[in-house]
Parts: sequence; structure tokens; C-alpha cells
Amino acid sequence: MQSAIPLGANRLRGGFTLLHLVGIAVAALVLLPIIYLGIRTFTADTSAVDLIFRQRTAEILLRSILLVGLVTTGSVLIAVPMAWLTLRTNLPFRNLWTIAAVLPLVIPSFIGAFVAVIALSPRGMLRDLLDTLFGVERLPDIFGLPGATLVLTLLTFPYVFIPVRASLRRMDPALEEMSRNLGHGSLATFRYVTLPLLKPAISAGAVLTALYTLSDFGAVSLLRYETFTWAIFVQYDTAFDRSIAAALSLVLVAVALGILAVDIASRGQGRYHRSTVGAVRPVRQIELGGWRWPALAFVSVVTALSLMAPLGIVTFWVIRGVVRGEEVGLDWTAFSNSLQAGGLAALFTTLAAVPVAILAVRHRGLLSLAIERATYLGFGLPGIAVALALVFFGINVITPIYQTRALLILAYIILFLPAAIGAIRASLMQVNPRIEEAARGLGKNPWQVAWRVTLPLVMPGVLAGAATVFLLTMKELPATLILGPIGFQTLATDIWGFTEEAFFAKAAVPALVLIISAGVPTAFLLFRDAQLSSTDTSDSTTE
Amino acid sequence: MASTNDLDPMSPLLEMSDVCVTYSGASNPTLDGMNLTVRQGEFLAILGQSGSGKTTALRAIAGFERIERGQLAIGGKVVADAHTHVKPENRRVGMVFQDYALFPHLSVMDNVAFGVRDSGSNGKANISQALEMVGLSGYEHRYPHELSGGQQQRVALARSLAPDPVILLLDEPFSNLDRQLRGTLRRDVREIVQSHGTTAVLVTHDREEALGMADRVAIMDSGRVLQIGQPVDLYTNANSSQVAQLIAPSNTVRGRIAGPYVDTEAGRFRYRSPTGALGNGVFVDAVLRAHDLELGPWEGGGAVRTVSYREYQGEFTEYGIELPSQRRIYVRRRSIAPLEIGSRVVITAPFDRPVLVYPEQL
Repeated sequence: MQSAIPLGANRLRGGFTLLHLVGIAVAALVLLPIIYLGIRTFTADTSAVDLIFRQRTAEILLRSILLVGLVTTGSVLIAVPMAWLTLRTNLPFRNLWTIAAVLPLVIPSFIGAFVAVIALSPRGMLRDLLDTLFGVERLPDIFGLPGATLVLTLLTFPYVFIPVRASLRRMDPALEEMSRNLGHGSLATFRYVTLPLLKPAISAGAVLTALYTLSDFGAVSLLRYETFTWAIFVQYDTAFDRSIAAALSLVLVAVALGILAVDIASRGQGRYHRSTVGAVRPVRQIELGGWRWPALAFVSVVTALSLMAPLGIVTFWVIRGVVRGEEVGLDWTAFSNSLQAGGLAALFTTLAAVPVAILAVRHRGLLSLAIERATYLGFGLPGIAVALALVFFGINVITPIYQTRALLILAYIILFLPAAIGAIRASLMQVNPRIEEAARGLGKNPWQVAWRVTLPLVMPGVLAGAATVFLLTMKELPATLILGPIGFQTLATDIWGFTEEAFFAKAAVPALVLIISAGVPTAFLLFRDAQLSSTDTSDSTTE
Repeated sequence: MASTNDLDPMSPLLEMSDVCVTYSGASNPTLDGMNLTVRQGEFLAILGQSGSGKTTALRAIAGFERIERGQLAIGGKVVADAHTHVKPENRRVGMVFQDYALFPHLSVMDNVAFGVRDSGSNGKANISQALEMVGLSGYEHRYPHELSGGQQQRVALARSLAPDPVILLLDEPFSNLDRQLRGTLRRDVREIVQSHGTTAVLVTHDREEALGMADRVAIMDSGRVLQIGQPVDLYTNANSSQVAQLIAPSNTVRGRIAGPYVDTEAGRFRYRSPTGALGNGVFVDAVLRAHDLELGPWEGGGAVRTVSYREYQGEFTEYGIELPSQRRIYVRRRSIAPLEIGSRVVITAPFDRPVLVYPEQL
């Protein structure tokens, strides 16, 4: 839809309405805390410049970049072959592998890390098994960079898989046929035609993966790899002077915005319009022949590690705990806190998202664009940085709500607003403004049109956006740890806390509950989106 | 940059015999025992309705579809049969797709250079020559989305001709262009292909395009070639009612031979039978060409035929005539002395243009 003709672009360009005022308020909500953090840090007693340009900052930066680089590369290397195999070849059980390649997204990184620790650590399940079977007494250390890379790569490759598969599916097969026709073999065709055409999708996915990895707190903290997020948390948690944490947060935000900027700059060259019109012919599948066994082995190993292992091991520990009569009951307070926080975040985020989405689609102009871009920032802002900014903002400016759930909800709104706007925006763009004009022509005023025509049509998008925010909130960890009122526990903080203290059996129950209660609906939403982005109906009507 | 083939002119360059292709999941074969011979240097058109298998035939020649039966030979060498499948990249067959399939990430220059193996001065000369031939010199550094539909079409043609293919395949190349541009490009493409000396096969559902551009036309239906011949020959001697209907706008009605006449619901006409003499009383399919009929005033008595539709088209006017069975047939007539809707008419065939009849198909 990016290249679509802006529907209704001619209407109300530049006009200032009440809607713009609401939009500005929402944008301010998103931007103010971070700006405040910046100002405070640079005007503090300790010189911010000194804090930022320390050797330790450089080390943390290097470690973070190394992890981001490895995870992003690994995700691309897993996702691109996986997308190609499940779409273009006669690999057996293709649909099954497709679902399996999307589902790891529902597993929070702290659960992935929890599983890695109990399975692979020097005293973990795999060692026990190998010890019994072969007398192996020591395994290589899972903590640090190897573990963090493994866990994050296996959980984030779907971010690349989904756009690459959609792009491969939309690609006109005639282009590849043309290359063959002009005398190039299948390998050369993949390299010179398919891969360049997939580049936008790969880089979109890579940016998501990079941002996710950079913001991740759960995996790096449990696997003891000191990147920005963990360093910030330790500083915040232990040091009296919070200015170091603030300075680190600012560097982290700068790196995240840098990744976003690279993404936006590289998208500028609009050479990837589909130059073709007309129906897309179904592609003839490539016969794998003898390659089907290595291909099957590849997808099986990926699925086993990224999906089956987490689910299996968590379930195993729950059962083991029950059998051994350990105390494995569910902490109902944490469960209800999770649901409540998710519900409130979903409600308020959606309310903030609707005006921005309407501005972006129906009232295009410089101001609308600026408002939309500003809210989009939350997408790149790491949760821990937003949380820290809100701590400062809360202590000094909005004191009454500091240490209340309201501040926590505000953090969720800032972080998840882009997800809600995206869903509402997408469904609003499907509504042809001619339909609204037809309703006006039939004698309805704008409010009646909005209520009786537009709203029913975009309702699926609004609900999907709200559901997405609910689920993201359930999985959120660092902001919840920092901003939650004292004694406030959710499923996520429970799992993290128990794993940190090595109460694995206690962590297994909330982990399973979280995977089921957040994972099943997430999976449903993901497939809904995957369906939307892989059909060609929107392309053919707007291009 | 003439074609490098050392085969005799008029010798078969492409031979398809009994070729069958079935798409997975389809119950009927898309190509069902197709036979076709294309001669060295000729411009051949395959005319058929959508679903007739004509595009599949091109895809089989180019090597995008495997054939499960029969044989396909190019330049005397078998490139496909039930066991052989020469890969598309090794066939030296040029293809111009319906939607051009220009590489969106490459410039015009790089698109045209894509299939040229020789990266030296000869190759470069080929590329600039191809661009010049299609009149797009100076557009080398543009990208496909910066070109108009007609220009994209020309780039696609230059790209396919630059590697100097043995045979050029054109898959409905004009269907995405507006009517006016179509006419111009049709002429240009014909001339470019001719000056290049390449053998070409054009697939189309547009009868004007096929009859106007091709040396020979193959009529295709249900995965087979029904008839092949020069356009004039096909027009006058269509050997079945399907071919006759495809080659000119016409109405097929049931009729019965009565001496030198055929009696139909639309009237009594003089007839000609391209497939041989027919005895009295034989039931036939009579093909009434819309251009070849005349309308006269009703003189009373017999069946009633009424003008029920009229579409003014400028020089000609198309009339819909309702027959006694309430079926409607169409007649095209010069626009002078227009007939009113509701007027009763007699349909006749002029002496020099008898209707075509074919033994009734059951």
C-alpha cells in the first residue's frame, strides 16, 4: 500500500481542524518524556558529555552492535531460504513449515532465555542427558554472546520471514522467467533478479529485527550479556546517581533512531514499483529432487529449536513440577495484573491512535505527516529508555501519577501506539473515500457518515490494533519492571524474577500461561496480517 | 545483426507434434495434441480465445512448461519431449510477455544488456543497436517506471532481440495499450522484427491483429490448432464453423440444405460449403457474417424478424435483429438510410457473398 495513490489526498489539505489539535497532543505525549530526558541529562551537574564518552559506553555500544549485527544476519540467513522453500519449491508440508516459521514471534525473549538456561547451561537438561548417555560432563558456556545470539535469532527471524514471503508471493514470476529466457540459469536468476527485488522486504525485516534486538532486555539480562538495556537497568537499580543510566539511555535512543533513519533513507529510491499490470500467473514449483532431504533437515532443525524446544521444555517443567509435588500454582494476582494492564493499555492506546490514523489517511498534509512520524518514533524507542524517561518525567513533572499504574499505562501507550495506528491506518486505507462521498450524496452529514459508514468498515482494524496492544503489553518486561508500583507483579515480571533466582519450576507455570493467553491470539492476528499482505487485490486497484 | 541461422528459408524452424501439457490440478490438458510448424523467417500468429491454450503453447516453446507427450524441436534439434527438457536459458528463444516483465530494479540499458553474453564491444554494439532499432536511444538511464506503456513495450522488444534469438515469441504484446497506440506499435513491431530477420510467433485473441500482422495464422481452440494458413485463405476457406466464427464477427444458426439454398430461422440464403458438396435436406451450421448480410424491407408473410437494437458506430451501424425464436443476430450495415427499432426486416446475403455452411456438429 506504500505506493498507493493517496485516497482523498485532495481533501482539506493544510486545513487545521480539531483533529489536528488532538493529533498534536498525542504526538507531544510521545515526544515530551524523551525530550525531557535529554534536557535533564545535558543540564545535570555531572557533565553529560563525560558520561557518554566513557570507555565503558564504547564497550557497551560495541557489544550491542555486535549482537544486533549477528542476530540480524542470522535472521536473514534463516528467513530468506525458509521463505523461498515454503513458497517456491515442492518441499513436503509447506503450509506446516510456514506456520511454524511465524509462531516463534509469540514467545517472549525472556521465556526463550529461560528455556536456553534450563536446557543448555553447564548444569542444564542437555548436559544431564549427554552425561547419562555419553558421560559428557561439561558443555560450552551458554551465557554471554553465544546464548543471546542463539535465542534472539531463533525468536526474531519471523520478522524477516513474514515480509520476505509476502514480497516473494507478490513478485511477478514473469520476471524470473524472463531472466531464464535471456539465458541465465536458476542461480544467476536468483542472484541478479530475485534477490535484488526482495531487497526492500529483507531490509524492512532486518530493521525490525535490529530494533527488537537492540531493545531486548529479557534475553540479554537472563543470559548475562551486557548490552545497553541490561547496563541501563543495573545502573538504575543499583546506583544512587541515575545520571549514568539516563546518559546510556540517550545513546541507546540515538542508535535506535540511527537504524530507523537508515531504513527511511534506503526506502527513498522508488525503483521497486511493480511495473507490471494484469493477473499474476501461479508459479510452477521448483522440483527439489535430491535436495529435498537437506531442505527438510534445515526447516526441521529451525522449527525444533525455535518452537518445539521452548514449548516442549516449558510444558515438561510444569508437568515435572506437578509430579514432584512442588509448589507450582499460578500467581493469580500477577495474572490479573497482566490482564488488567493489557486491557487498559489497549483501550487508551486505541483512543489515541484513531485520530492520528484518520489524520494520516484522510487529511494528508505536512502537519499530519509530522504528527504521524512523531508517533511512529515509539516503534524505534527501546522500552527501557521510555521507562527511564518516564521515571524522570514522573518524579519531576507529573509527580501525582509517579509510582501509579497510570504512568505504566502511559509507557505502554508510547511504546505500542505505532502498532495500533498501523492496524487502523491499514483498514482505513481500504475504505475508498468515494464510498463516504456517496453517503454524503445520499444526504448524510459528516458525523452520520463517520458513525454509519466509516466506523463499521474500519472496526476490524480497530479491534486488531487493540488486540495487538493487549498482547504486546502482556509480553512487555523492562518498562513493567521499572515503572510498576512497588510490589506490582505481572506474569512477565514473575517469569523473569523466578528465572533470575533459578526457581525454574516456579517460572514454568506463568511461562506456559503467558504463551497460551498471549500467544494463541497473537498467532491469529499474525495470520490475519500475513493474509492481508499477500493478496494482490489492493495492488491492482490502486496502481 | 541478421539472424545467424544457416538453415534454408522456408524450412521448418519450429516443429511441435502431438504436444500435450496438463497443469497440475487441472482435469483437462491445456495443450491436447498440438501440432504446429513455423517456417524459417516467417511471422506467424496464433489466434484463439482466452483458455484456448495459446499462451501455454508459447510457454512450452520457451521452456517454462514441461510437455508430457509429443515432441518439440527448434532448428531440427529436439528441445522437449516426454523425457527431455532443455532449460529455458539454453533454448535461445526470445519472449516478450504480455505485461513486458521489465526488471524494475534495472535501468533500460541494464534491462537490454541482461541477456547479452558478450560483454565486449560486440555486445555493447548489439545493445545500442537494439535500442536504436526500437527508437529509444537516449533512454538508457531511465528506469521502467519512468516510461510510458508503449516505451516499456519497445524496451521489452529490444531486450529480447539483443541476444539475437533463433525465434521471437510475443505473448499478447499489445493488449495493455490503448487502441490508438496499438495500431502504431503493431506496425512498428512488424517492421522491427522483419528488419531483424527473426522468425516470430505472436499470440493474440484480436483477429485484426492476427490477420493484419502475420504471414500465416494458426487458429487454436481447446489446446489444438484447428487450421493454419495465410490470412486471406483462412478468411475465405475456413474449414469449420469455429474457425469461421473466430476469423470474422459472425452468427451461427442452424440450417437445412434445400437445393442451392440453405433455409434458416434468419431466412433463406445462397450458400458455399468449404468442406465439400452437401446433399439436399442435410442439417448444417450456417455462419452468417455480420458484414456480409443485407437488410431489406419486410414484404409481408412468413416469419417476422424485427430490429430490436441499434448501435451507431460512425460509418457503420450495428443492428440487432430478433428472430422468431427470440434469438438475436447482429448485422453491420453502412449508416446511410438508418432503420428504426421495431421495423420488420428481411435478411439477405448478396450474390457474391454466400453464407458459409458446415455439416452440423453433434
